[in-house]
Amino acid sequence: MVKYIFRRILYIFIVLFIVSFFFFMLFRTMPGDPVDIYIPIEMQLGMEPEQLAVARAEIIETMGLDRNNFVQYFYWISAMFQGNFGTSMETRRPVIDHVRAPLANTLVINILNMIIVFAITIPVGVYCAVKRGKAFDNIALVTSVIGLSIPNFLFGLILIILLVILAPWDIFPMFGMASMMPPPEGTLAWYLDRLRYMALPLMTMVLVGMAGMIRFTRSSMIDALNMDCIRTARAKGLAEKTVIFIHAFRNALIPIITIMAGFFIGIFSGAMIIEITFSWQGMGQIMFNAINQRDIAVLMTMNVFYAFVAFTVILLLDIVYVIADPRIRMG
Amino acid sequence: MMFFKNLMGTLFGSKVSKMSLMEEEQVQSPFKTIVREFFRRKLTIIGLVGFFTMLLASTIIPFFFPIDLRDTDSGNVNQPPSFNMMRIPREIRNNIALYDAGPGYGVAVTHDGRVHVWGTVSRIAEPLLNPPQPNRPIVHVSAGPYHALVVTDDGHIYSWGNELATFAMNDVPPEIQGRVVTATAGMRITVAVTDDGQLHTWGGIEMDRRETAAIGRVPRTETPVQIGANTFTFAVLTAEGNIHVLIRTPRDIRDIPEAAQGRITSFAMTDNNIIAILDDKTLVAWGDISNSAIINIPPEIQGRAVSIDAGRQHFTALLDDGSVRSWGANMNGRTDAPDVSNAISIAVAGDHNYVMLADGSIETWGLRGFYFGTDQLGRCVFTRLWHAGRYSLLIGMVAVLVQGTLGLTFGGFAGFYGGKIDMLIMRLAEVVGSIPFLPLALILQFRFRHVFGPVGGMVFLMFILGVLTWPPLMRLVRAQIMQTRESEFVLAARALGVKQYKLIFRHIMPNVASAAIVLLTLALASSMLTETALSFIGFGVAEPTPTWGNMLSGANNSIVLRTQWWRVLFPAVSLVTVALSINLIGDGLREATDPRAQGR
Repeated sequence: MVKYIFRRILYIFIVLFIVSFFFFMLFRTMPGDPVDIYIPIEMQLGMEPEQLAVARAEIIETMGLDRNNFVQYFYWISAMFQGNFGTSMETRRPVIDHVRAPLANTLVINILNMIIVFAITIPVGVYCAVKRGKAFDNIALVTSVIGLSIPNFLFGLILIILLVILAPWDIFPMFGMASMMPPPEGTLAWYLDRLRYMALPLMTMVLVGMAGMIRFTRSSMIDALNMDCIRTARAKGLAEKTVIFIHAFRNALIPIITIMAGFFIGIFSGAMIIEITFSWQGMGQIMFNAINQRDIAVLMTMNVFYAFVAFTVILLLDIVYVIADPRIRMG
Repeated sequence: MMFFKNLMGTLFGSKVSKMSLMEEEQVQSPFKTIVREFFRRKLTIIGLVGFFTMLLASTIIPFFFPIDLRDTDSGNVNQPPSFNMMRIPREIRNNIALYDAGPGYGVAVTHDGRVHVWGTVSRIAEPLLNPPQPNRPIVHVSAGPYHALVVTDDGHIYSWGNELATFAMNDVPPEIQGRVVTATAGMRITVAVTDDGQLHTWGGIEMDRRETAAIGRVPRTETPVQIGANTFTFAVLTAEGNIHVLIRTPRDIRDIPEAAQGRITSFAMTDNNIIAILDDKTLVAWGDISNSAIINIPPEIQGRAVSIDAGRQHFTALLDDGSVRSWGANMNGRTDAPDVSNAISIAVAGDHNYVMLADGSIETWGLRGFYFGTDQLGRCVFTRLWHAGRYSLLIGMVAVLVQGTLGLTFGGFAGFYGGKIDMLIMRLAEVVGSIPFLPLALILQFRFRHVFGPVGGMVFLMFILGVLTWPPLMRLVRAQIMQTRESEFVLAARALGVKQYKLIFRHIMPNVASAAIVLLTLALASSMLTETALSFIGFGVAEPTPTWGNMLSGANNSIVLRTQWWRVLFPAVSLVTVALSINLIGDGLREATDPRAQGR
C-alpha cells in the first residue's frame, strides 16, 4: 500500500513536470516582447531612449530572458520549489497574495454549491430510481434533459431575467461581488450582503449541477437495485427501506463518489463562465483576466496548481476505492 | 438501400439474409430490434424532428438569405422584430401626393394634406411615428435616418423625430421659417435652402458644425436645387450643374469628375458613392471604386435615366420609358425591381424601394422588415441566426469527428494490445483529463487563433474541442474491447482461425460501436454547448463570423436583457432546441442499443 502510494506520488510529480514544461514553452512562444510585461507601455513612453535601454538590459539580465528556454524553465521550477511563484502583473503583488481572496471566494461558492446539489439530487435520484417509470420519474428525467441542453451562462441569463428584471422585488443584484458601500466586515449585515451577491451565481451553479447529477444518481441507483444481492436481500424478507438505503444505496455510492471527485476537479473549470457572466470575483474571473492581460506568472502557477489538485484527488479517490471496495486491488 | 442495410448489419453484428415470411416473424435481427426500440419512444421522435428541422433550416435558409459578413448598418441598430417597414396603410394606398423613404419607415402626404408614417424604427427615433399635421398644403417631404421633415407652401418646416437635445435636429432656426424652398433630413443634421438661394444647416454635433463652417461653401453665384445626405456628409447640387460636398468625409466621394461638373441635373449618394445624371441622361459614378456592383452601372440604362435615388448600398433609377432599374449587391431583395412601364417617381432608403405609378398606386421591393430584429451593429438577426447555425453545427460535428477518431483509435489500441501501449495511453489520458478544460482551451485560443486567421482559427477551435475531450470515449472503448476480447465467442472465432482484422471489425467492433455512438451523440451536444460558452466570453469563433455563442455575447448586460430581448431569445432558443434534440436522440439510442439500460 505505502509503496503503491509512494509510486503514485512520484508519478504525479513527473506529470507535473511535463505539464508545467508544456505551459512554460507555450507562454515563452507567445508573440510580443516579454520586457513589455515588466515595464508597462505607458511607462516606456515616458522614458528617455537611453533610460529605457538601460532598464531593458537590466530586466533581461535579472530575469535571465537572454538565456535558453530550458535554462529559464529550470530557473522557474527551482524558484517554484522555494515557494516563489512570481509576481502578478495585474496587481504587482506576489501571485499567492493575488489569488488568495478569489480562490477563497471560489472555494466558498463551490462548496456551498456541492452541498446543495448533493443534498437535493441524491434523495431525488434515489426516489426516481425506486419509483422508476412513474410520473415523477418521467418529469424529473425530461426536466434534467432540458437542463443538460442549456449552456450554463444561459441559465445565468434566464435567472437574471426571471429574478432581477421581471420580478417585482429588488433583492438580487445583477452583477458584482459586494455593494458599493459594504457594511463593516464580519457583521451579520456584511454576510447578508455577500450572500445577496452570491445568490444568483450560486443558483445558476446549482441548477447546472443538478441536471447532470439527478440522472447520474438515478442510473447508479438503478444499477445497484438490479444487483443480485438486492434480490437476495428482498428474498431474505428484509424491509424495503433497509434494502434500498442499506444495501442498494451503499453500492450506488461508489460511482457517486467518483462523480463528486470529478465535480471537485471541475470547480476550477466549470464555474469560469458563470463567474464571468456575473462578474463574480472568483478564480475563473482571475484566470480570464490573466489570460487577457498575459499575466503569465498567475497562469503558470494556477495551471500547475489545478493539475496538482486533479492528480491528488484522483489518488485520494483510488485510496478511497480500495477502502470502500475490497474487490479492487492495488494496480 | 441494400448496401446501407448490410453496412448497418455489419456494424451492429447481424447479417441481413433473405428469409421466408414465417422465419422473419419469429426471428428478428438485433438491428431491427434496435430500430424498433429507437422509434418506439415519443421523445426520440421529437428529438429527431427537432434536430433535422434545425439542421435543414441551417443548411437551406442561408442559400436564400446570403450574408455579407462585413456588412453593418448604422441606420438599423437594435431594431425590434418587424414586418411592416414598407406596409403603406391601406386607407391611403391610392391617395398619396408626396412620399419619401427612410431607413425602416416611410412618410407619405395624402391629397388632403394629412401626414402618415409607417414602419419600425429604433428606440431613439421612436417619436418619428407621430408626425405633426401642418394646416397648410405640403410641398416637400424628406425622411432621414433619425428624423423627418415636411415643408409647407408658405415656406415653413415641420420637423420631427429623435428628440435628443445633443443633436437638436428639430430646432429649426426661427429666422428662416416662412422662407424655405426645400430641405433634407440627414443623419444628424438638417439642411435647408431658403428663397434667396442661401443654405442653412442646424443640428448635428459640434464637429459637424465646425466642419461645415470650414469647407461648407457653395459659391454665391450658384443656386442650390437639390440636397443629398449620407451618414457622414451632405452634398448640394446647384442650378449651374455643379455638385459641392460640404463636410469632409473619410470616403473619397469628393473627387468629383471634372468632365461631369456643370452638366449634372440630378444625383444620389450612398455612404461611399455618388451617382449623377448628366444633361444627356447618362450616369456617372464616383467614390469607392472597389464596389464594382455599384460602379458598373448597367450599360443599357445609359442615356435613359430621368431620376435616381440611393439606398444604403444600392441605387435605383427611373428611366424615360417609365420603367425602373436597381443595381448594387443584392441583399434583402433590394435590387429586384419590378417590371413596370408607367412609373412616375421613386424613393429609396436603406434597403427599401418605392415606386409610384401613373395611376397613383405605389409598388415596393426590398427589405420588408427584420423578422428577428437587428443587433448592435444593425445586422439582421434572422439571417445571422441560420448562418450561425451552420457554423455551430459544423463546429460541433467536426469536433465530435476528431474526438471520435482519437477516442476509438487510442481506445482500440489500448484495449486490444494492452500492456505497455495501454499504460502509455492511459497515462496520456490522465494528463489530458487532469488539466481543467476551460482555462486550457482559453489559453490555447488566446495563443493561436490569430496565427491561423479566421477560417484556420475556427478549424483550430474544432480541434481543441475534439483533442481535449477524447479520454472518456477512449476509456469506454478500451473497457468494452477488453471485456469482449475475453468473451467466449471471440475465443471461438480465434480458435477457428479468423484473421486478426476480421476479428476486430466483425466481432469486436460491433460490440463497441453502439456504446461509442451513444457517447458521441451526447458529445455532439456538449461540444456545441462548449463552443457556445467559449464564443460567449469572446474566446471562440471571432466576429464577424456568426455562431449562436457569439451572437449571445454581450447579452449579459442589463440594457440588452431589458430592451433588446430579440438579441437573446432567438439564438438561445435555437441553441437549446438543437442541444435538447441531440440529447433526446442520444437517450433514445442508448435505450435502444443497450438492453440493460431499459428504463434508465
